[in-house]
Amino acid sequence: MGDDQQGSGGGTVASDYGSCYYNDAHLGGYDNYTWDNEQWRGFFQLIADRIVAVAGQGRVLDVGCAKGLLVQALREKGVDARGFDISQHAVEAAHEDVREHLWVASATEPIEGHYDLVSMIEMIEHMGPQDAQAAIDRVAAVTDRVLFSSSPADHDEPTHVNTKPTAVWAAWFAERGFHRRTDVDLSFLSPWAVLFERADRSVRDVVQAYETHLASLNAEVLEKRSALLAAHRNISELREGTDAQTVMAEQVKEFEREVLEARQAQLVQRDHVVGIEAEIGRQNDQILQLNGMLRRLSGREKRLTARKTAQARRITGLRAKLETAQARNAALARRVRELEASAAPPSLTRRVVRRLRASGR
Amino acid sequence: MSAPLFSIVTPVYEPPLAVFEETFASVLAQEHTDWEWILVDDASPSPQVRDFIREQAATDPRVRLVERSENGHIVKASNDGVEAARGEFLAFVDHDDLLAVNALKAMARHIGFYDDVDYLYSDEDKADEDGSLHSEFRKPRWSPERLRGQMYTSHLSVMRTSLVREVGAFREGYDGSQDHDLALRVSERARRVVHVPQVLYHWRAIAGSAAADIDAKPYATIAGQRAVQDQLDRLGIRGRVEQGREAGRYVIERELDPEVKVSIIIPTLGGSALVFGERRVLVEETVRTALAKTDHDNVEIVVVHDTPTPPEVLERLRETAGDKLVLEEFTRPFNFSEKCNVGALRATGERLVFLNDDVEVISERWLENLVGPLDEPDVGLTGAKLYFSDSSIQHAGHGYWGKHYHHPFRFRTREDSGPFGELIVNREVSGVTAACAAIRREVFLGIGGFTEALPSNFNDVDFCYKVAHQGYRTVWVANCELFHFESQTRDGTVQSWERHFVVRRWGIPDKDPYTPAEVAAPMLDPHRLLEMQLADAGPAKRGARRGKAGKAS
Repeated sequence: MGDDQQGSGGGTVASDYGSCYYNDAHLGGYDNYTWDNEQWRGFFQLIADRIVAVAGQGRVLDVGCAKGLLVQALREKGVDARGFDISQHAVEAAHEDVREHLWVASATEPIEGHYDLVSMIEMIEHMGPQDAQAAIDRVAAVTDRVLFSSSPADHDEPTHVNTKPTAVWAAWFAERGFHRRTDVDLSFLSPWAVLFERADRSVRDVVQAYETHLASLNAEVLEKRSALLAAHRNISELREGTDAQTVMAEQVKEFEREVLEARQAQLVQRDHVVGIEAEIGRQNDQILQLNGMLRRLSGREKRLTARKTAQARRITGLRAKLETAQARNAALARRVRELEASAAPPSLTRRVVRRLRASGR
Repeated sequence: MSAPLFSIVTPVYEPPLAVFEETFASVLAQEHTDWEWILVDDASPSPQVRDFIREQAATDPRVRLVERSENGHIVKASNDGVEAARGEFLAFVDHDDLLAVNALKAMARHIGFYDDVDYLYSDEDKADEDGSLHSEFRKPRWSPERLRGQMYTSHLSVMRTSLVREVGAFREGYDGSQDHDLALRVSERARRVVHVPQVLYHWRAIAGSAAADIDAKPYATIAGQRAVQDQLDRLGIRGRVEQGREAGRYVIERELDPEVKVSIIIPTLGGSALVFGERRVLVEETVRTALAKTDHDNVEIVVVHDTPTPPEVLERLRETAGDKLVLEEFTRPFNFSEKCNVGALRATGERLVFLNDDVEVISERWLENLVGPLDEPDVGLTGAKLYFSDSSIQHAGHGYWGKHYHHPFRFRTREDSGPFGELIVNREVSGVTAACAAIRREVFLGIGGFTEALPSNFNDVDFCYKVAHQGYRTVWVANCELFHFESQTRDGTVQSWERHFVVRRWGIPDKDPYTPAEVAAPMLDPHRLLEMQLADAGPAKRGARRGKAGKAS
């Protein structure tokens, strides 16, 4: 297939992987996809360690090697590693220490030689379905061990034209006699990374291997489920606790309100008491004043009564005296008349006396 | 001869003989005769008066002349008199003034009322050279705060001799205000100070004497300032004394302990009004100026707002007052007393300040000056000087007399000092308006707060009566000034049942013990005056009474 044409079956071509692909954030994770970037370098050194652990220091080919970072990491560990990539830009941009071990090629083309391990990391999803089958064939022809990783879900990346579940890839590798090494855990590379190995295994062996793996996974799932349930119950309890606290806080607020009202009622009562005290005080003053007035008036009344009694007694006395005098007067008058009657005619002297008396009345 | 009741003490220095003879005659004419008179001649250059006294002393054993060999000025001469005195009480009479004939008799009568009286003072007036009497000074009941603001007691002053000697009599260095200084020191220790409400002393206005013009003796006011400051220091009152606007008047700038928390309680509806030509939300300006015009930081603002208060007003209050703000929503029907009570119960400060939402603080350090006097345990309540928006006086203390509750001095100008300094010195009063009043928390709780039976009018009158009834003084603070845009927020009509409520508790107001009706008059509102003139001219009905203790008559 030509670099300037659309890849067969809807795949991608080399020009899709120019500087933009590497400069923009297509690769996710870290910026500056070069050997000089500490994070990328560390990442590939870790993969290299695992490869050496699994395959020893044999020959390794990295298909879709990009700037050859994995190749460089492997070579650092003394592995006879090399790699190719469809992007000329990537290969040309590789570090000078590794540049001579890289070349530009398509994975659909035949590969020369034999390798102890071939790595296909996050590259096959960029190829169309037919090209992908061809690539698997080309790889299967030169090795018995494939380190494979292909994102099953990352559809946002525009060059991911052929994302498939890992199980589909595993089935295609199984058609060519490759099976998953269930004893090798590559989850540090990606959750879906697999080490395929060609082996002449019976169905029984394969089932046993998968069952062994499945059993441990099942156990883990069960354990996690029960842990999840416990956690869920815990959360519910806590939530109920929070609800209770909210209720209590409301109650406290309500109590505070009641206390305030009680204190206000107390204040109002206090005002009443002070007011009543004042009223009593004022009335007591008035009572005192009135009592004083009353005392003065009763004193006066007593004095007047005594005077009245004395006057009455005097009147009685005077009346008695008057009666005595009147009686005496009447007796004397009677006596005068008797004497006048017995001594007529009166003498000159008597007549003069009588005349004088009459004029004196 | 047994010790007399009174020793009259008179330092003598060069009075005109004719003037002195009148003074002499006024003492000899006393109806009460149990006295001696110690005349201390302070080495007068001319001999006439000295000879005159000598002659009199020869025939009347009650007249005693003490002759100083050298001039020692008023303090030394007066102290010689105090030293020579044998009487139980000292009466200080200046060599050119006149005693009323009943002066000693009235004093003796009041001494007889109480066993523990140590200091008595009477009312006074002034006598012109032609003998006419004028400028009658009707004085308040014993007012310690006012005595700091001015020497209001002297003439006639009668003090227990033993107490005067105990405090060391007159002090050197206070010439011209030595009587003020002595009055301050004696009254501090007096068991009882009594005001005798009769004019017993005629102060003669002779050119150069203090009666004619205190400005003639500027050294006297400096000594007076020092005497008052000394008292603050002796009593541990935190404050600074400054010269007042008139000679012989003193201003006290108080300080507040930063530990003392002050709660300012403001009942509001969040209303707005036109003030100084612009529309403003009243409470916002109240809170802003209240916080801006004080240095005291330990303040809490409790805003008791009715439910319809606009939320944006509360938001702006939060911006202004920050974490000093406490909002209390009031959902019940309008009751000013209840709103104040709820605010006070929510408040956490030891001092409570009640502020209407329609005021604006004018004077710097208003809170310190308003709250400071409450540090004295017998001061229960303080109030402020409030102005209408045209700067005429709205409030300068309450006065309760003649069957009514008054705002004495209302409508006087801001520049007016009052007939006897009433408007520029702090003084004791019967009551203050709740538009701006400060009280100690325990006093507030002890009297049961504002009576909720009076929702709008007279609740502050009742409040002040209660404070006085519990034996506390109420102090009106002249240097705490605010605008009060009164009646802009509520109706001021008074109902007769409101008045009856107050009268039932406290009786019908007769005479005010602190503010005599005569000095406060006239309190005529210019607008009301116009209204009355219009009413006289036509058949229009006379204006209704003004609101809240505001019978302007």
